Amino acid sequence: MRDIARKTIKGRKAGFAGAFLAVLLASVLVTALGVLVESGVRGGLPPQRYDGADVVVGGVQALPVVEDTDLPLSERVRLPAGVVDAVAAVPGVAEAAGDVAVPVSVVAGGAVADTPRPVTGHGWSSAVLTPFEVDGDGAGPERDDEVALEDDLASSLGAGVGDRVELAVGGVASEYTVTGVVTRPGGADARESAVFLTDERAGELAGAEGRWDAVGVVAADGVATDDLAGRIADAVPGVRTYTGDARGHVEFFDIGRARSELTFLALSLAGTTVLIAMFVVASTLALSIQQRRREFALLRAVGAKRGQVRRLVGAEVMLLAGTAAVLGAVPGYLVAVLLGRGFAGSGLLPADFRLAMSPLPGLAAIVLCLVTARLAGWVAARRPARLNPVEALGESAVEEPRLGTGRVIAGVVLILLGLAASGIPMLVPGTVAVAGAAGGALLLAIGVALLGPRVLGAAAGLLAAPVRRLSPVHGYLATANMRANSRRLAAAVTPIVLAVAVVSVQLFSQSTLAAAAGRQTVDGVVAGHVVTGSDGGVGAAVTDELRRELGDDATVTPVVHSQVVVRYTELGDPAQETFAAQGLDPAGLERTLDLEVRDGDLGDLRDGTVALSRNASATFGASVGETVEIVLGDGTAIEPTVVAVYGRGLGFGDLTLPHDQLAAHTTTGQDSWVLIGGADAEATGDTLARVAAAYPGLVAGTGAGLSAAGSAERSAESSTSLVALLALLAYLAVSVVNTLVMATSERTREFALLRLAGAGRRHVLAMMRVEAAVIVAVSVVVGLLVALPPLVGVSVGLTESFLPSISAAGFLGIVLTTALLGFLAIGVPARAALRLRPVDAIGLRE
Amino acid sequence: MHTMTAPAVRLDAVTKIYGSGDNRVTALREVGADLATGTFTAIMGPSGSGKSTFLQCAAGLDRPTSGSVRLGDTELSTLSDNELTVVRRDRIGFVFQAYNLLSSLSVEDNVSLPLRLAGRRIDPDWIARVAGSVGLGEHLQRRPAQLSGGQQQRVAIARALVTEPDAVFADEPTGALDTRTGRQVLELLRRVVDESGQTVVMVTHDPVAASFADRVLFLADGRITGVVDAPTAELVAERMTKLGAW
Repeated sequence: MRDIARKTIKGRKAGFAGAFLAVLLASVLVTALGVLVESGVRGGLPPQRYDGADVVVGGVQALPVVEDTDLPLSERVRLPAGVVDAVAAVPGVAEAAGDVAVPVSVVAGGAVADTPRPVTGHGWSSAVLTPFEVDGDGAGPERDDEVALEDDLASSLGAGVGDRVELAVGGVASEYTVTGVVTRPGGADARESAVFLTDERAGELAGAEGRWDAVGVVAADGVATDDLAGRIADAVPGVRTYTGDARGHVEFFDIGRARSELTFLALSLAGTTVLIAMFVVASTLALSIQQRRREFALLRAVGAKRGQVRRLVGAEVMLLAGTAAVLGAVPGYLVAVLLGRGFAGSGLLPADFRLAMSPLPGLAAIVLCLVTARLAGWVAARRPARLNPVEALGESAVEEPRLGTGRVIAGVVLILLGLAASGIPMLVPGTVAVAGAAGGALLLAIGVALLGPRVLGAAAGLLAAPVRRLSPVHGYLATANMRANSRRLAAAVTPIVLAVAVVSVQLFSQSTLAAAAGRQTVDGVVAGHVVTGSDGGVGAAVTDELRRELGDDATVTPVVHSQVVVRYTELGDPAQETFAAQGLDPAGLERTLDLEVRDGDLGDLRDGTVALSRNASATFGASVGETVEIVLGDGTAIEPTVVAVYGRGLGFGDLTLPHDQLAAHTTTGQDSWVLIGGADAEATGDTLARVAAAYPGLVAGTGAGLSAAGSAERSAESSTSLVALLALLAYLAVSVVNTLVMATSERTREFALLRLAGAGRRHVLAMMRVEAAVIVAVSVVVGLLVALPPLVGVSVGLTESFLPSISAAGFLGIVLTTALLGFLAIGVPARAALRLRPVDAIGLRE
Repeated sequence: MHTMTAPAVRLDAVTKIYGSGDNRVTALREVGADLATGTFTAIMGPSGSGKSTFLQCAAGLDRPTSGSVRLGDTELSTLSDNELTVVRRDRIGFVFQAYNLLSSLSVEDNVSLPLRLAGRRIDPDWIARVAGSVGLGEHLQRRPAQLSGGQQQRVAIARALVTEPDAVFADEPTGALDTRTGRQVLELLRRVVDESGQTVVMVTHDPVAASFADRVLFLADGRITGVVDAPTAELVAERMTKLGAW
């Protein structure tokens, strides 16, 4: 069988090209996603500032999740002050130094100065971890107003030992005397410029209160680092140790977060991709097998058992898929790099993020593609194996008119399930319901695909009359064809319907979400003025000064943002998920922020309480008076009581906690916005301008500006998911073209017959154009119909409105892309088929 | 004319009904026939007479609704699908009107296909001899698309003979060929019977083709309505006119 399979593939390369391409691209995509998943686990950046440390000790930066990847915490989990001594006491440790990092701005002439690289402040004792060397006769800082500068920063500022420089954190600036210029070995490609303050000053600015971000360890001579790391982990409770490149995970906090987001995104995308790839490969194989019906019937007639036919198809598929999967794995790495760049562009990944490249994703993709192809081949082989050998005797290749009962039942069940899933949000609110509705799209699409020939027969019937009126001759031929060959047509239309449905749901749930969030922000910000920081945030001193200056006439509401993990019960199982949280002070809130309270009273918000969005309240199953289990960004667990439920969770965050409590558990402790409302607008504006001028890097604006900033952030988020979708879309587009080309090229004989019967080239092409138009119209309409129930469900769940926001650009994009792909993929092969002389073409054997 | 020995194929009271209820069609009604070993039999009849069904039942491509079909000593009507497949593979040869060959396999591979499906060792000399006997000795490595229609039918005949079957069944083997090429194919079939003692059963509607057979069975409306031994084209044509318009 293997031998026949090999020869068959060699002999009919064209017939197998479609399936080959489908597997090849699946392999490309799965490899690329595999690289991203692996990079989420191992990728990042090798250590720079901790390069001189053999072991780096950090806090436990994630919550363990049973049977799943750990849930990362959003704020730096710091180590208690005593950890440095505890680590230093472990045998084999030559030196242990604690480190804190705080982003600082360099101020020149009252404004934030441009620096070659972002600047970060650290305690002087951590200089040994790189190690930094002091140039010439300089020295490290010894007093609170002294600083040592890294050489590149010193030269760009033109500052030397003895000069004064001004550094600001959260807009609050102070002057320092330069005590030395320091250099790191091979520091040219470093990510940041370092400035060193005393340990106490650095800790104070970082809001670390004597705790450390990390402790770096220099091993004694002759001590193996991995052994040492193990001993430290055993000796000191509640820490994690890192060696080698993994030290970078502690050094670059943003990369740690990016890694987990990357893993999450790549894994969820990989799931959908494998499903769709399986569907595409299976339908392509089914089409190519359908085209070889007579061949299989002949094999059955001359003595091939059913099992042999199945094995033949299986061997063909494995040969084909094996080659395609191996060939696809290689460019997969390239696509991973491109996707990585795309994510860097959209802000998901830091620009200097390094992908982890190992043979593993390629091998995994090959295995996955082979398993997928084997399954698809198994499904596709059932039909030819069941073929009646008598068909070899017949002369015509009439397709089977009826669909199997099992297929019809499966299709109807899937459609009903899809509709039910789409309807969940109308009955119960919450995240699960929305996810269920979005998932309903795939169920509906596959259900429609199973019923494809029927749906299309019906659609072609509906369209027949108007098409014939518009184009009597060609329309007649085209509609007659479509009704007679509804199965072939279905194979062509199904991937388009799938593509249109998947894209519509993704695109328009995004736009629905973005529109709702934007509306909520605009409606919710009552404050006339807002202060934001250019680097990092706004320090607490700014709020104090604004309150002093504006007095009781105005409400000054600082808002701090973080992400917290909530533990709750979902469908009877314990779940924990990350949610956006804001911290604010409820006093006078009616003059600055309207969260649209539905139940309870935000005025009751104090330590030990929390307010939830409508969606969060439903997801956690917690109403006013009940408690919620929350893990704050730095790992602190609290169990506050719900005092209010509000409507504008999309615009402002699903949880609202007391300001000081949340701020104490963020890395920087700084506010992202300070809202000012209530006072005379003009006077407030003047005061603000004066205060902002005193705090370098602060920006005073209006409430409307805040909404605009929010929408920019959201569009970055949606562009991330668009980059992720793009790979999937390209795959769907190729498979659409693939099937259409396959379905059109097999009609060479039919075209020849038409031409011998007196139709000119022009007529055949016109007929195909009508067919293409009907195919495009039917697929777009059916695809949008499939997308509609889930979209309404998502919209109800997210925004309580039945109307999803469908962006005109997105809609036009879908229609035009489908039309373009459809017309090209049908027109080009039709033209190619017409290039043969009809007399020769009619004699072609199948 | 050969002496009649034990029949290669025997049909006894074979009835074949397609469909059920209102769509019921009876294609064969209690048909009985002995097809003697080493003879060439032609089956003739108008469209819908049941001649194709006769061939399918006799050749183990389909099972009768009732009655018995024996190939040598083997009762075919009670065999499972797999057993029937093995019988077709090892003991029956087929020549169809068209689409006889796998286009991606060479002549040699097409001829040896039944052996390959049986998992038997393939002796190149034997394949060459069989191909040579149908006049295709030089074309072993060609693909079907590189051959003429007549040559393709010869490959099909070689494939039918490669297992040295008990009987060869041919369904309108000259239907897609011109007169001269058709004649060569019929002469080849005749030679197979005369020289190798093969049993050949052929469905045709062409009196000239039928005249190559030892005996012609006429079918109409699912029944055997006549037999002509040692037929000539004129005799067959005359009989056909009597049976009514074809």
